[in-house]
Amino acid sequence: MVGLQDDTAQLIEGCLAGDRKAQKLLYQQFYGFAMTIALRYARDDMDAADIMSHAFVKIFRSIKSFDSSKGSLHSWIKRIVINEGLDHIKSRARFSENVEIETIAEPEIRNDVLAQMGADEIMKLVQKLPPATHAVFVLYAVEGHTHAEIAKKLTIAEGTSKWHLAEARKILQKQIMLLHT
Amino acid sequence: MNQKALYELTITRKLDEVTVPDLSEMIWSRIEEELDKDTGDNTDGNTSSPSSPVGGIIAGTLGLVLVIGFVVNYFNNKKGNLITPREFNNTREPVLIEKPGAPVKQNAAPFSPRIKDNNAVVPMPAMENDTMLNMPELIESLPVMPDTPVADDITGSVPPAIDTAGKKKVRGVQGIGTDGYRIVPKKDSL
Repeated sequence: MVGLQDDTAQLIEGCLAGDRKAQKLLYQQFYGFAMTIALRYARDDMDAADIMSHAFVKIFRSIKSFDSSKGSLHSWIKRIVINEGLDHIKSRARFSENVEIETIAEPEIRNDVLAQMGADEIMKLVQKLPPATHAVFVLYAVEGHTHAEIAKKLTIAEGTSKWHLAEARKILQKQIMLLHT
Repeated sequence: MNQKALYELTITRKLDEVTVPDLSEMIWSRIEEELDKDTGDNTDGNTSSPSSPVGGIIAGTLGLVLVIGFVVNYFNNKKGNLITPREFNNTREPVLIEKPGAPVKQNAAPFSPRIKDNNAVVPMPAMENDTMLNMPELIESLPVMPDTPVADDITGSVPPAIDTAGKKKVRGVQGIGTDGYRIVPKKDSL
C-alpha cells in the first residue's frame, strides 16, 4: 500500500481478511486520535463511546474501500468518525428554520481568557452547546469548514449555519465570562 | 477553508490536548459484538449461519402441515363426517318414526336429555306411559345449548361405531315448531 508504514499496511491486510486480532490492533492504534475527534461531537464520554463504536464498525466493514493513494489512513478514519459524530448530533438536533442572514453580529470572545482555561474545561463548554449549534461551531471553528460546506453537510441553508455560529459564540462568551469574572 | 479567528485557533489547540477517557475495552467489546453479527460467530467460536435454510424449511413444513390439517378438517366438516347430536338423532329417524298408535318398544339403555329448552324429552323409566310416545315423528331440535352435555350423553348411549354413510342427513327442518321435536329412544337404535 502506498504511503503506509509496513506495520499499518499489515494491519490493513489483516482487517481485509477479517482477522479479529488485526482489527483490534488497528483500533487500539487509532483509539486516542479517533476519541479526541469523537469527544468534539459528543455531549459526554459515553456519547463519545457510542460514536466510536459505530465509527469503527463502519471502518472495518468498509476497509476495502480505503485507497492509500487518495489520502492517509488518518484522514480516512477522521472523516468516518466526524460523519458518525454528525449523524449522532443530527439524530437529536433541531436546526432552526432556514435563516437567510448575510451579516451577523460577531460577539467577541476573549482569547486571553481562553488561553488560561484548561482543555477539558473548554471541551465541556463546547459539549454543552445546543446540538445544532454545537455541530456548526465544531465544523466551522475547529474543523475549518466554510458555511457553504457546512450547509451541504447538514442540509441547511448557509444563513442558518451563520446563525448557529453566531449563537455558539454568544453562548461561549457568556459562559467564559461567568467562569472567569 | 475559512479564516479562523484567534480564539478559534486557541479552542482548536486546546481541544486537541483533551484527556481522552480510557474506555477502549468497553468500546471494543461493542465493536466486536457488532462484527460478530456479520460473521455469525459467537464467543464460543461456534459458527452459525445467519441465513441457515433449516429454520425456513422447518417453518415451511409446519405451515404446510397446518394448511393440510385445516383443509382436511374443512372437507370433513363439509361432508358431515362429524357426528353431531342432530345427526346422531337423524340416524335413528327411520327407527324413531312410528305409525300412529303403534306400540313403542322400550329402550334397554338409558337416554339422557340433551336439550334444555322447550323440547319435551321423555325420561326412560316413564316412557311407556308417556303420551308423547304416540307422536308420529321424533326429531330433535337443531340448536345445542351451551350448557347441555352433548358429547358425554352421546357416547354413553350410542354404540361405538355408528355408520353415517348412506344415511340421509337432514340439513334443517323448516316450519316445525318446538312442539314438533320429540326424542324417543329405541332399542334398535342402540
